[in-house]
Amino acid sequence: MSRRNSNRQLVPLTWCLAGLLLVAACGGRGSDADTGGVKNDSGVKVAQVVKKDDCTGYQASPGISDDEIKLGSSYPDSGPLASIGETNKGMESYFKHLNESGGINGRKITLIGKDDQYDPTKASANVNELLQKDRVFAIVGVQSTTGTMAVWDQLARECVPILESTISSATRDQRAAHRNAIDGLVPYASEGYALAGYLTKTLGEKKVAVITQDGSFGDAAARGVERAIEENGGKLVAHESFQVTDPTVRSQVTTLKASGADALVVIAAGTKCPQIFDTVAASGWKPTIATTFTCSNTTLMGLAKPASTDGIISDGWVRVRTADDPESKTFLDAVKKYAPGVNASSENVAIGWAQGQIVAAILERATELTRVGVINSALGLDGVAVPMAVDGVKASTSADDSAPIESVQIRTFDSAAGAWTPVTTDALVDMTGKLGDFE
Amino acid sequence: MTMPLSAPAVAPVVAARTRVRIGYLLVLAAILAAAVVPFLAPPYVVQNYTRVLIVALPTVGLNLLTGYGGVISLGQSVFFGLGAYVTAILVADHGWAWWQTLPLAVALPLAAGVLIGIPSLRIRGVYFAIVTLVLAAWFPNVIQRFNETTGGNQGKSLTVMQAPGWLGLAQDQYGYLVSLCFLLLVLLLLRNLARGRTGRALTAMRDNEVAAATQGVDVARTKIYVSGLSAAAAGLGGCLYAATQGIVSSETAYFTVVGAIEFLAAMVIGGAGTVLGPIVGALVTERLPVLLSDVDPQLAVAAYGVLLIVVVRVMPAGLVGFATTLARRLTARVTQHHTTVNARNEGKP
Amino acid sequence: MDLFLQRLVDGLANGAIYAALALAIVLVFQTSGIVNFAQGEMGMLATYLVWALTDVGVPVLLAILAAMVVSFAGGAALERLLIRRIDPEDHLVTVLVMTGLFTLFGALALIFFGSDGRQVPSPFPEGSLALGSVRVPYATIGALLVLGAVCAGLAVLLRSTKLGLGLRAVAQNRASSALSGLPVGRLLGIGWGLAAALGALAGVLVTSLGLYLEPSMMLPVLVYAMAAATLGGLDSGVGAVVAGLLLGVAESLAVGYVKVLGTESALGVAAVVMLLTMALRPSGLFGTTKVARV
Repeated sequence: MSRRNSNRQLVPLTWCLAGLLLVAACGGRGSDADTGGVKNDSGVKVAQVVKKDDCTGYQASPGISDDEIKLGSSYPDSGPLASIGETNKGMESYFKHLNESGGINGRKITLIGKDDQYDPTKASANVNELLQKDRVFAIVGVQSTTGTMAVWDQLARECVPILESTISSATRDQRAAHRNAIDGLVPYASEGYALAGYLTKTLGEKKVAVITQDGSFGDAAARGVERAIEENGGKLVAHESFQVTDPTVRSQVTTLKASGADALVVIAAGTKCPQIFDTVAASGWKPTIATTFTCSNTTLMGLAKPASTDGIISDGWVRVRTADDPESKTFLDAVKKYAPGVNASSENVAIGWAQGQIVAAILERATELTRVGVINSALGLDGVAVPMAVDGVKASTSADDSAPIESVQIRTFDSAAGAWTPVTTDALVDMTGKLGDFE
Repeated sequence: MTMPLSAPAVAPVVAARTRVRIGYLLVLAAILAAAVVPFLAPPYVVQNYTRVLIVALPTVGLNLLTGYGGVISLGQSVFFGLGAYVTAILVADHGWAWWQTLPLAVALPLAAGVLIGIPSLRIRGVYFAIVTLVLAAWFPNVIQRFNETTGGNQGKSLTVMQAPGWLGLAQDQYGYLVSLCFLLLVLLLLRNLARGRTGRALTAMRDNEVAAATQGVDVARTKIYVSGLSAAAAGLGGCLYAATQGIVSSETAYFTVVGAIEFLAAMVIGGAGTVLGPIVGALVTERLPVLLSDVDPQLAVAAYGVLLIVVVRVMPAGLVGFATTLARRLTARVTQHHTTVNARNEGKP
Repeated sequence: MDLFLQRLVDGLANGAIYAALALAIVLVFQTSGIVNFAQGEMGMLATYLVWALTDVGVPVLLAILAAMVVSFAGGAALERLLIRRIDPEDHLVTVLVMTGLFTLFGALALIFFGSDGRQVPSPFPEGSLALGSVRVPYATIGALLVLGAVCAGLAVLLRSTKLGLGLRAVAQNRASSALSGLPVGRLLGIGWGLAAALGALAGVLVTSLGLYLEPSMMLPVLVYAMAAATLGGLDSGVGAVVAGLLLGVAESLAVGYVKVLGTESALGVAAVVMLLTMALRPSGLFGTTKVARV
């Protein structure tokens, strides 16, 4: 009886499918019309790299009204990687601070953020919802490379700007195919190059070892490290990698120590950083250590034993916050006011603030507040000052260079004070236009 | 047992028939409602529900293996990932059309499922769950190990499926409808399977393996068979995932332990051993966290854990099982009322 | 040679991490017949208590003791409210409830403490013993000693005391234990309480062996601990410790010498070890009863 029953159900199912196809045949969906451009008083004329006609399904200025610019963002706000999402709290604080003084030519910036738990699928769903439901003008501050890449093909076709988002391990070809996307960080390869360059050239270290987090971040940074070592006549004597899921890094450190290296580049993130520093110190090995900005959060550095972190070298493009610096004061006051629950001493929050300044500069310099106008403005930054950046670090982009920040300041950690201080010699490393060399 | 055909004895038969008819109509209405969604909702909503349909596929497979067969697996994410990577790699690097990858994207997980099914003969219950959990935890590392081919954590992008021109459908609508068709097809196959010989063998095996064996059920073959089928359904889901989402990465949550837990939770919340349970479950596990996330992102995960425990404790047959029992009671009461009224009327002189 | 010895010491330190959690998992199994894979998350929550107490100035040993007492109560309460209602023979329900608890505890830690790492003071002295160029951290020595002591203590408790016999009897057969007049409920509660207290201790050992306290701390450890528990035999404390140390040493040597494997394969090794043990010797190396009915 069950057999007959199930066969009888086949009939209506077939009907349904037939009906489905019928509905499908007449049920296409048109796209919204072009809404036209909005002039911007403070615009700066730049090269028109991307043109309206290159875009499919182009909408010029959704999310822009006479008194508002709506931006959308997707970042981890929950889960183990939520601290990365603190960046967006910094960015949001900056926009709110900016709005108090009139926003962009009288238009206030509204930032709508959504949680993606660092999952590219969720990031993609968030971005689509932001564009279609919230009708945001542009996407800013997506905090994972894969999350950005999950949407950048589609958004490149539709010419939707993706500003100050993480694409820091992307290759030059990938960047060239997505002119709508602007990097929010110093490209990882450039950072590795700067660190290893300082070790081998300025400090004269010859035998260098490197430990990397397995994945595109570690791979990209390691390429820069290798390049710098090679250029300066040094030797990479050992390269170990670890998984985020490895409970400890003892085996790797023992191997690195056995290589007899005098210097160690640490490319890691999160609590793996203090773990590596402590493990190295406990092994009795005393190399000169340089590490990426992802380890440089003072809270993170403070987790390790003071003796393990003293004198560690790192880099940054966002200024070291000090009590007597007016920009630092503005920043700390604004974060306290607009994001009270957030740890203002976190490096990520300061980076977000600086990213917000770059986004604001891009919007302000656009000759018209259209998506294409803003993309071209983003590709036409010519040494624009970023108040929160280290003195001398400027934002520059071009048609072939989607990384606004490519120079970093070298710093050392003073574990007694729990703070970073810029080194006195060769403090700034400028790598503008070098990204292609690291591949 | 023989019984004279009197009015009270007819009542349950009538009730059963009414139930069948009501169930029939409900299923029809649900399919129709599902079919019109892409024509009424904006693309992002359609995409969200496409993922519900896709997540339902590995859940359907798991339902067969665990709900009917009693083999507990926390490794369904591996087969989902295998299917997704077969499609992503063949489309992105070898120029195949997504539908050409279908046979392989189903066959490879099927083979892997058969392979995993072999140890399940010796390793039982919670122990098998643990082994599969470790495999699920390992899978993202394997993707990373072969990052030259897989794209590692940065991911592999592929062109998403496009509707043929004559259909006049947008990409999201097409993806949704294709996923819906495959899901219906798989459900239909599963339904026939569950009601047929294999289904009876499975249920017998789940309830008492020794008894099943003595009654002529080939336990080993049945287990390996459903293990393969379950993995194949997951592979199909993975294939559709890659073809509709356009990027796969070792950071994609569905390919990790998080995904494995979601599939298992979807099956249980929907109702283990029910035909429609996986869809209801997928709907809950996909959409509920998003809704809760608007209240507080951290809360969503906690609620997920609580929900799992509560469902297991309060409604062991899941939402669908709970609803079925409820409906059965209601129709029973209605028909009983009918028959008593009829009997009373007939009794009148 | 020195390098080899150092790798051995590294492996023992990692192995101690796996063994600590494996021991707690084994204890739950011995006393209730349930494989608790939320054990690590429970230990992680308890470690937050240690951290909170030391943060307000409580001496570390006292804080550990307090956390163990609180954990004992928590474990017993959990058993009374939830676990008691589970039939250990119903594997699906067991797996689901444990998965639910696992998810819930992790989420709770994130809600209350956030994702930032924290440093828990170590009960062991800093620094290491230098044997030639080989460094043996005092923390490693201390952790091994504690594990040995706990192992011996548990063996005495379970084999030579009336309480221990009761605990084991209940785990093996609740119905006949009840019939022979054992207070089944109280014994199950004590079993879970003891395991939770041991879980708290495991959390502290893990953090003193180089991990930082964060909500996701125990997930990677859990996988290896599970592998150690199965390899050693789910009902053998000594087995869990020996297997944990073996896994640690094997992993350290493999990562150090077999470069082809790469660190990506470490979890795979754990998986293969478990698969082979379960398929070939389901009772593990040291187990006495068959954990899988064949």
